[in-house]
Formats: sequence, structure tokens, C-alpha cells
Amino acid sequence: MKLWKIALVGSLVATAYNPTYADTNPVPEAFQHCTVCHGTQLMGNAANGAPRLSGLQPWYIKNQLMAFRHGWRGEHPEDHRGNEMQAAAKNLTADQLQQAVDFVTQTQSPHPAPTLNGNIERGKTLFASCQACHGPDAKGNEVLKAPNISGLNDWYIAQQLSNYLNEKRGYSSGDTNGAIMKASALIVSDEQDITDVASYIVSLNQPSKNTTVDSGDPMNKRTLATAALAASLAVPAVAEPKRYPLPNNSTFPIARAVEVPAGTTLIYHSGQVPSPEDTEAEKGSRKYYGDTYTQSMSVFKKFEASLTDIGLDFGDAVKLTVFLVGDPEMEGKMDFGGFMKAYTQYFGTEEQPNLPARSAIQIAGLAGGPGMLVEIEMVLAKPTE
Amino acid sequence: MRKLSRRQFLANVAMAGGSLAVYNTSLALDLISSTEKLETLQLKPAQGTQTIAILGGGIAGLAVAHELGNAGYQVVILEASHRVGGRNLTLRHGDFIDELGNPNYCQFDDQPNLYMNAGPARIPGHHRRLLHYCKKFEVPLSIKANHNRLAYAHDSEAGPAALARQEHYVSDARGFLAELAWKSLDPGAFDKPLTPEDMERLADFVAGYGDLDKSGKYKGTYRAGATTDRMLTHGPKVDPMPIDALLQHDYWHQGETQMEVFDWLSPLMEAKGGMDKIVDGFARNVKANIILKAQVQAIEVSDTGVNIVYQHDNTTKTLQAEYCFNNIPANFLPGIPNNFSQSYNQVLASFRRQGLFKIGFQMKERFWEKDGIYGGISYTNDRINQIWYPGHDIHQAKGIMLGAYIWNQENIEYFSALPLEERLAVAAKQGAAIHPNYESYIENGVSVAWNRMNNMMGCGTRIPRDKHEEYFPMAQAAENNRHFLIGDQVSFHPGWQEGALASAETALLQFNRIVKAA
Repeated sequence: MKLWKIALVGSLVATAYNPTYADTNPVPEAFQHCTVCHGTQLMGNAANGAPRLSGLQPWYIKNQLMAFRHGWRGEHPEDHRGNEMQAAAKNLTADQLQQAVDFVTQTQSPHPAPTLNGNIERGKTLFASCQACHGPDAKGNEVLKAPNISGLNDWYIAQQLSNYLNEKRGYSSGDTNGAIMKASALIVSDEQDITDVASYIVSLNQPSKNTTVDSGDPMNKRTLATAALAASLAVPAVAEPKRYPLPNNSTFPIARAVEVPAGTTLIYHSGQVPSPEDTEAEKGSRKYYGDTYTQSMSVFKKFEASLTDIGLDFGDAVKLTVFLVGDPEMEGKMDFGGFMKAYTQYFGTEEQPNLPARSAIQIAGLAGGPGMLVEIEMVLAKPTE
Repeated sequence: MRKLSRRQFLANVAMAGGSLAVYNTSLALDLISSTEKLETLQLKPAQGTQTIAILGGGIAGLAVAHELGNAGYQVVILEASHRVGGRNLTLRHGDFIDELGNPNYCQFDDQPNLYMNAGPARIPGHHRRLLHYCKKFEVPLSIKANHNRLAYAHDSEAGPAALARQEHYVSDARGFLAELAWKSLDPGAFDKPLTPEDMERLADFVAGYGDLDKSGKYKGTYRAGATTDRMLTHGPKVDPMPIDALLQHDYWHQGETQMEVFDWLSPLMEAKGGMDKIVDGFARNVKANIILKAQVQAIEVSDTGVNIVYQHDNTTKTLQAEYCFNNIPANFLPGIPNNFSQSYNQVLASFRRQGLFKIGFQMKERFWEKDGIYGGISYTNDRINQIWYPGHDIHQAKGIMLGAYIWNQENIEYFSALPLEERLAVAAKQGAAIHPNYESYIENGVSVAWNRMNNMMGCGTRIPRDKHEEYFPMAQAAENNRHFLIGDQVSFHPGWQEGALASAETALLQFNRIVKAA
């Protein structure tokens, strides 16, 4: 035998192979078939499209088993893996379902190793929006029906995000929690976003030596910004608008409400539309104004100039109304994720933590004609001089 | 209904028929020795007590168990399901179909002639390894009619008028092609100009090939049959189809060339009384401790052997063996903790599940025989893809026919997602487009979705094409000289018993070299 092989096998015994499997409790016979696809101790198996289940909270396991059993999940004709699970869950009695929850909860397997090579730093930025419900450590929040996703396989997170975006999950009207996540999944807009977020989530549980996440601290800039905001709320300055945060420590970068105290001047700023990105391109073409992200950046840059001109900045904004035209390249749905990518560069950053109240609306069209996808109007407040 | 594209079709043919090229490739890789064969294998006998763990009692596992048991090794087969044989499964009255989410029992009448081969069903004459064991274990074989030109070609888009016997399509196609060839007969068109005698012979051949008239025109042929009984009257021959109708028909995309595929060349064979007679043959001739319902949970390879952690009888146990032959479907292996090298695990993780779907109907009457069809296959572009007529037990009262045989993944997923009764109902309706009153003959039926069968979850699992060259030799090579991956998955013939046996052959030859060197 080659020496390198001995060394390799030796080193892997310490990492990949977990000899405790020999000591774990036998799988109840009624649930042995679960391990056929999900693997020993439900460690997850990409080849079968079956995720790691250990680490999921009991309420979520129950919730999803119910969803499969009722046909709320795995119902989309192209969600083949979901449909397989639907078949496996459909005959469970209420008692068996509870026993299954107990079994899944008791399994033990190591956190899954990364399989995707996403940009973790970028994923971290995108994850800022996910934290609102799933928490900064991705461990979930039962009140918001957000599961612990920190122990899932990256390929599975990516697959499910993709399923949400393609409406393969959150498809059935009975899947009310799925519907919420389907809407929230618009935070990511393409495969790169999905890969980056999935890689980031899995990195949260990797040994810190091989990650680029600073000191294994799951807190990121968004959280720090929110902390700064909280600090600012504690000692409100005189005549500064009071910004009420979203419930449940959500870090989604808008305010639940903004209170404008006496002694404040309000400024109503007209809607801003984007400047052409490529004036050489044919008017009305995609290239002319660019995508939603490009247009949103253009709008914010115009605001920047205008606000400076009248002695204001983004920190003074108390209310934004965002009008988005459906993107023809996204089957006519608004590119909310594209807008958010631009927005989060101006609001809720370390430099500019103030969050406005905000509405975002999809509309049929804008005065700028075909290709124009974004208009934003803003209300600002500053202490009366 | 989406048509099978030409590219898909070619891919299917290559998948099933590329064996010769593949065989040569394997020879070039020195994985198959042209002199050493399973049939003449001389294994080094066991030295003292040497334990062999075989994971999975499919065909490859059984063959390895047979050979090693005979050579004096202590063979233990750990089989996760309730039976051995893997996908070699013949369903009869009362048999359990262990589909995840749809466990059910076969409802066929309790008659020896009423069975369905849910897995392999055909043996070509060149599958020498399988035929070797059939002969050795005295498994009776019979000729199987696979292609039958009296069976039908059906195209759901072409309408009922286009439903015709395959001979009609084949005869007309040859006629039109011959007419085209006749028109282009030109002695100068060849590299070496043909002599007038050669030209005459060529013209004769072309005319005979397509049954052309003296002027080189195709005007139909009696080969396609006559419109009346041809015994007492000289009935008019069937009219040739309009060429556009002929070309549009889906038969060309999937049916016509299947008789030309190397593994489906006539005549084929089958085991008399059901293909699982081969499994029975192995079972009679295997000296091994077979542990059923034993689920493997971890595999640890060392320099001295292989430890297998498994669960059996509600207890976690460890089997210590000197060598391990792993016949577990590769799509399960990434879910079983192990200490394999990273590269080996990378190969194991590359395998992709495929599917296969069959429906068997018990028909109260063998109506196809009244229609002149004795065995063979009708082809359709409906989801059911093919219907098979039993060629055994001719003229019995009842018969089991295959109401669907599907390898198109989209159609497999479609059927798999349906409840059992609906699967049968859809297949019955589609069959009725080929045979009038089809549904009225059905007494009961059974469906087998291999992609959902417990402990299997796939059929024809394989390394993707683009990784074959790199990964295939790595999958064949024993890990640490102790762990051998076997099964049809480690062959270029996934889904064939011969592929499973070829992998067993390669593994045993490799094993023999290792133990001889030890």
C-alpha cells in the first residue's frame, strides 16, 4: 500500500469518521426507512436529495411532517424530492408523527461540511435580511416560525431557496409558513446570491480556522449597526425623530414606525427616477436603464446629490415609498432583491444606521416608459432651526 | 405529450447499446483481462478463518458470495431488505412491494404462470457471465420474443388512423428508402466505379430490399399484410402510408431501432417461470450467512480489514471482516459514515440516481393472442412508453402483461407521484388507445417505481458521463486493498445483471491478485 494513503486514511479517521455511531441507540424499526435516504443518524445525503435533520427544532420537524402529510409541501409537480417525502409522511398517524419527531430530535450527527464554494463575505451581507427571522446565528425563532437552518447542508439550503424562488415550495395554499418564506426569498435574486448565502450559513458551524468569518463571531455588520441604532434610541436627541424598530428584534432594515416630534421640519422630496445607464443603447431596451439594482443605485445617487444640495442626508429620511415595475426578465415580478441590494448600501449601514418607515409597491409602469423599473419618493425630517 | 427528441433517443440507444465500445475501453484500461474470466476463476483458497463481508444481496453480491464461499472464505451477507436478489424481483400472488410511502401486496391470482418480472426481464446471448451461472445452477431458460412486428406502433398525436402494426411501418419505410436509392443509382457515385454487372446486382438488391416494382416504384407490399384473409383469396395488399404521415410517426424515435440494439438483438432469453429463478439458483449455491433486514450504518477500513457497523434485530452490531464487497446502491453511500479516502468518497458522491417504472396488469383474457400477437412489445409515445405481451404460457386463460415500461425521468416522476390506483388508471387509459376495451380485461395490477423502492431508491445509478473517464477506474479499484465497490453501478451496463456480474468479475480478479500477493 502506498504510504500517502495510509497517512490520508489515518488523518480522516480523526475527522470524517465518527466512531460514536457504533454506540448510538438503534433506530426504531418504524423509522429505519428514514435513514435509507437521510443517512445514518439522519446525517443528510445529497445523492438522495435528503438533508441532514439532526439539529432541527421539534416544532419545525412536526410542522413540516404535517405539511408533507397534508400535501402542503412536495405538491408542486416538479418538486420530485419533496413529493418523495410526501409519500413517506402521508401514512403517519398522529402518534407516529410525534414518535418521528422524537426520533429525529434524538439523532446526532456532525455539522455538515461545506460543499458549495460561495463567497462567504458576500453571503454574510445578504444574510442580514434573513436574520430578521432566522436570527444572527441562523438558529431560528419559533415565534416567527423560522426554523434553525444553521445545521442544514449548504446544497439543501441552496436547493430550497431556489425552490422558493421558483415557487416549487410555498406552492400549496395550505403552506402558510412557506408562503412567508417564499416572499422573503426575494432577498436573493440569482444562483450566486443563493450559493453565497448557503455557504455563509454553513460556515457558521465550521471550525473557525478554515473560514473567512471574523473570529467565528456570527454577529456581522448589520447586527452591529442595529446595536448602534438601539444605543441611539436609548438616549434620543431633542427633536430627533423617534424610530420604532420592527418586532421580535428583527434586523430587516426598515423602521416599524417613525415618530416626528414637535420642532421638526418636514421635507417632501419628489419621486426620483433613474438616469440612463447606457445612453448609447436603444431607448426602451434593457441596456438603456439597466436592471432594478442598477436603476436603484442611480436613484439613490441622484438623491445623494439632491439631499446634499438642500442640506440633508439619508439619515434624515423618515418615510420612503418605493415603486417597482415588474421585471420582464423575472416573469414580470418585481426584482425586490435587486432593489434591496442598493437600498442596504444607504440605509442601516455602520455609517448611516437610521432606518425609515417604508413601503414598496409593484406598479404597472412609469413615466419613463418601457425599461424604467424604479421610482422612489422620500419624506425627510430635520430639527427646525 | 412531449416527443422524445432524436438526441434523447440516440442517448438512450448509446446508453443501452454502447457495450462494445465500452468493453474495448475497459480492456484498454486493463480492468478486464482478456484471459481471466469469471467462468474459469481460480481463487486462492482461504487461509484459516478469513471473513468476507458482503453488503447487499443483489446479483453482484450473490455472485461474489458464491465464488468466495466455494473457496472456503467465511462469507456474511448483510442485506437491508426482507429478501435477496436486489432488483431481480419477480412478483407473484401476495408478494410484498416495499415502496416508501406505498407499501403494498401483489394481487395477482395464485397461479404459477401469473407473474411479472419487475426488474431484469431479458437475457441476450452474449451476456456470457449471466448465462454461465444459469447453466451452472441449472436455471431453465426459454427464448423470449422481445420484438414482434405484429405488435403495434402508436403515436398519440397522429390519431387512431396511425395505429398500425410495426411491420407496416417497417415495410413502408424500406419501400420509400429503396425508391430513393433506386433514383440515385449511379455507377460514378462510388469511389471505385461499379461495373454494369455490379449495378444490376445493386438494383436487384435495392428493389428486393424495398419490394419495388420493375420501374423502381414502391406501391406497397404484401410484407405489410393484406386487407383480407390471404389464405383463400389474393386479397389486396395494405396501402402504403403517405410519406409525411410515416415520417411524422413517433415510432422512428423510439421503437424501430430498438431491435437493432446489441443487448436487445433477437432472440433474447428469459428464465422459465420468472427471472428470480436466477436468484433462487444463487441462493441454492451460496455458502454464506445471509442476514436479512440488516442495515449498514458505518464502514471503517483499516490495513488489516474492514469493520462494518450495522443494525439488526433492534441492536447495533459490528462485523469484523478481512475484506468487504460493497453492493449497496451508491446513492446511499454518502449517507453512511466511513473513513474512506477523500478521493474515493468524491467518486462515491458522484453517482446519480436514475429511475425505472413498470406496471403489470393481470388480464382476465389473453386478448392480444386473438389479435395475432404472441409476445413482444407495442411502442407508444404516451407516458406508458411500452406495453409487453407475455410470450410464456401461451393460450392459458389469463396473463400478466406489462402495462408500462418507462425510463424517461419526467414520466417516471409523474407516475411515481400518483397514488397506486391512479397509476393503474392512467396506464389503463393509455393502453386503451392501442387495444380496444383494454380496461375491461384488467382484473388487478401492480406498479413498481424503482426510484421509490425502500433500500433501493433508484435503478441504473451511475457516474455521470462527464466524470466517467476520471472516476470509473477509481470506483473499480479497491479502497485500501480491502473494500471493493460492486454492482451494475460499477459497470457501463447499469440496469443489467451482466453489468453486475462484470463488476463482480473485476472485483474478484483484483481480490485474487491482492490475496496472492499478501
